Amino acid sequence: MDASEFLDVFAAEARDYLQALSQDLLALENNPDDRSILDEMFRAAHSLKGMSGTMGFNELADFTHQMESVLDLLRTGEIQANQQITNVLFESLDNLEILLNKTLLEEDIDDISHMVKPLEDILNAKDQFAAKSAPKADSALESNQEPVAVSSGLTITLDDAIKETVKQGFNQGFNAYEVQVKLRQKTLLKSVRVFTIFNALEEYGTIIKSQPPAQDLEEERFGLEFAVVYLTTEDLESIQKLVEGISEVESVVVKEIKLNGRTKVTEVKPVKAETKTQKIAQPKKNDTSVVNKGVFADRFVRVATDRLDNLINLVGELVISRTQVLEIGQTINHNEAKSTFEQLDRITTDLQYAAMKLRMVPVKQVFDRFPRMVRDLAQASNKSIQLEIYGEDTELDRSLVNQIADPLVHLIRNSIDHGIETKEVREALGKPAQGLIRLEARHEGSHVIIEVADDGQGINVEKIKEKAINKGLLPENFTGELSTAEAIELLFKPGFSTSEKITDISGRGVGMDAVKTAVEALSGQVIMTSTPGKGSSIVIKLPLTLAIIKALLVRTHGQIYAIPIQAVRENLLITKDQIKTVNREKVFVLRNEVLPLFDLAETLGFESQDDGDSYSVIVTEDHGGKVGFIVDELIGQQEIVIKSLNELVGDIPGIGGATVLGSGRVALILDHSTLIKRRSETIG
Amino acid sequence: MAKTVLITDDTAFMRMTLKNVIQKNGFNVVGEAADGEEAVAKYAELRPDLVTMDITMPKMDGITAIKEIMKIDPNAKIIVCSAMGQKPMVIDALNAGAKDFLVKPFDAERVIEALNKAAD
Repeated sequence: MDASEFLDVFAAEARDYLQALSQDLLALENNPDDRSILDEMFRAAHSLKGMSGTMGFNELADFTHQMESVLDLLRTGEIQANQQITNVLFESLDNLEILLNKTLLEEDIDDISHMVKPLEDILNAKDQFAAKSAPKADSALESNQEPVAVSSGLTITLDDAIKETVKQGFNQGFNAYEVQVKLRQKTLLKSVRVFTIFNALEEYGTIIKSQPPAQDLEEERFGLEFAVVYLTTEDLESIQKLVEGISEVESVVVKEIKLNGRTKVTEVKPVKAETKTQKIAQPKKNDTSVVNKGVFADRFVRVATDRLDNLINLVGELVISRTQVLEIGQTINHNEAKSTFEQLDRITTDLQYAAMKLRMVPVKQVFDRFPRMVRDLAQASNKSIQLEIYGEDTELDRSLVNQIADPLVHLIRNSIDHGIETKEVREALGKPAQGLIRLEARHEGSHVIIEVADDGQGINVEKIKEKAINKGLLPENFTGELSTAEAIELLFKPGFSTSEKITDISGRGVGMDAVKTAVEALSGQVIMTSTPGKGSSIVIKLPLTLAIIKALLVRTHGQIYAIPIQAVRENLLITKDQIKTVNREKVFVLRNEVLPLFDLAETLGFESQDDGDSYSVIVTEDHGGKVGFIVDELIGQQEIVIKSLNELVGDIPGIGGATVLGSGRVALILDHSTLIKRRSETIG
Repeated sequence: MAKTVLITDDTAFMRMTLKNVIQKNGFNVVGEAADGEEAVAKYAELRPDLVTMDITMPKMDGITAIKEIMKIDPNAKIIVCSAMGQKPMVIDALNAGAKDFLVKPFDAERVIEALNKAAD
C-alpha cells in the first residue's frame, strides 16, 4: 500500500506517542507499580509499531517491537521495573527519537543492533528481573520456533477409535468428511486462522480429529496445510463453501469418508480473494441518512503552518484596509453607512483576535521536555530535585514558544548546576533534602510571564564580585560592597559565567547575557531576583504575539519609520550646543551618561540635513547600551502588523520588516541593533 | 449499494490508512472511532454493515467493545485488527463475536478480502 502521502500525519502522531511515552516513563519512575501507566506505555509502543510497520519503516517497527515486548513483561508483572530497566527504557526512548528523526529525514539508518541489545538483554534475562511472586502471565511474545513443515498430501489415517466415532455418527445421520485446508503463503497468526476455521466448522458439526494434532496447530508447528475429520449433517458442497468463505484460505478439499474402504474425492477448487462473487447487496433501511451522519468532524485538525501563516497575514492586510475604510467612513455623513462601518470594524477586530488565537499554542509543548531533563541532570549531578510545573496550558504565540525553549533550558540548567545544593549541604542547612524547581507560566495583561524559581542557595555576591574583577567588569582595586541587585546586573553582562568548573551541564561561556539577548530578541524582558540561602527566581516577560507590535512612528528624510517601542527608552529634544564630538563621533550627555548620537537619515544612507538649532532624539537601548538617534519628527505610538520583506528585497541590515499604515503608506520597521552595527561598518 | 464501514483505531494514522484502502475498494466509510466507547456509540447510531476494531485502545478496549456491539446487534460484522503477538486477544475477540481478524501491518488485499468475506 502506498502510504507515503500519510507521512505528515505519521510524523505528527509518532511524535505525540514519543512524548507520551517519555511522560509516562517519568511517572512510572515515581510509581513503579502503577499498572495503568504501563498499560498506556504498552499501547503507545504498540501503536507506534503498527504505524511504523504500515509505513514500511522496518527499523522503527523492529525497535518498537522490542520496546513493546519489554513493556509487556512489565505490564503483566512478569518482570518488575528497577533502576536498570528504567534507564534502559529512557535510553531506548532517546534511540527511538533518533530513529524516528532519521527515518523522517530519510537518512540511512545504520545497524540498530546496539540499540536493541539492552532491550533484548532484558528479554533474555527476564528471570533475573522476575517479580518476587510472579504470576505466570500470558506472554504476548510470538513463539520464535520455526514452523515444522508437514508433509503434503495429508490423509488422516483412521485408527479404530476414530472409525468407531465415525460409525456412531453415521448411525445418527451424520456425514463424515475429511477436510483438507491449505492456507495462503503470507498468512499471519496461522494458529488463529486455524481457530477461525475450526470455529466455523464446529458451528455445523464436530471435528473429531486433526492432522497435525490440535496442540501443534495451536502452537503453529505446521506448514500451511492441515486436515480434519469432520462429522456434520450438511452436505459436502456447503462445507466446501463454508471454508472457502474464510479469509486466507488458499484451497479446500473435502472428501467424503466411507468406512467400507474408499473415500470419494469431490472437486478441488482454489480460492482467491479476487474471484469473489459480489452478492447483490440488499438495500439498507436508512442508507442515505447514514452517509450524511457519517461525516464526523474531529475535534482537532492538523493544519500546515504555512497555511496558517498565510491566513494571519491576510487578516493583517484586512485590519489595515479596515483602518483605511474607517478613515474614509468618517468623511461620509450617512447613518446607514456609518453603522455598517462600525459593524465592519467590530467584525474585523474579532476576526483579528480569532486569527491570533490560531497561532497560540500551549507552553506545554516546551515544558514537556523539562521533567526528563531535570531528572537526567539531577541524576548526573547527584542531587535530588523535584520539578513543579504550573500553568502549562498558558498559550503563547507559536513562534515564541519555539524560541523560548533554549533560554529556558539554560535557566533550568543553571538552577540545577548553581542553584540547588547537594543533598548533604541541604540537610546540613536544615532544608528539605530534595531541592525544588518551580516552572510557571501565566498571563499578565497582554504579556505572558514564565518564571523559573528554585529553593537553592541564591546568588553568591562575593563570588560574583571576584569573578567580575577577574573578567575586568569591575576595576581591579574594587573593594566596595555590592548589593544583590548590582550583583545580578553583573551576571547579565556579556562574557560573565559564574561556573567555577565547566560542567557538562551549564556548558562553556554561555551566561545569563545569552538568555537576556534571546529574550529581548523576542521583545521580552528578563528580571532576576535572588535571596542568598533561599533561592533565585528568574521572570521572563513576553508579549502575547509577535505579529502585532507597538511601535513609535518617526519621520526622517520625508519617510516614516517604525521603531519597536520595546527598544525605545525615551525621546527628548536637544539643542545644537549639547552635541559634542569625541573621536570624530557625535555624542551627547544624558544625565551624566555619555551616549553616542547618530543621525537616522545618515545612518540609513541619506544625506544629513543638518539645520536648525534643536533636534528630536530617540534614545534606544539594547544589550550593547544606549544610543541616541536624531529624527526629523515624532509622529506617535501605534500598533502595527509586522510584514516580513520578501526575498526580492532580501535581508537589509537595520530594517526588520515593513508595515502598512492606515493611510496606505508603507513604513519600514527599524531594527535598531543591526542599524547601529551597520552604521559603525559604514563609518568605520 | 456500497457497504458501510465503521473504522475503529486509536491512532489517527491507522484510521487514515485503513480508510484510504477501504474507500478505494468500493466500500463507504461512514464513521471513525478512536476508542471502544466511541465505537459502540457510533455503531448504535450508524448501524454500519462492517466494523474494523483495533484491540488495544484507551477507555474501552476492542474486545469489550465487540461484546457491547454484539449486545446491540447480534448480527454485527466485526473484523478485529491486531498486531503480531496478540494471539490470545485475537482469540478472545473471535470468541466475543468478531467474524475475522487482520494482522498489522495491514496488507491492502487482506483488508479487502476480510471485508468482502465478512460482508457475505
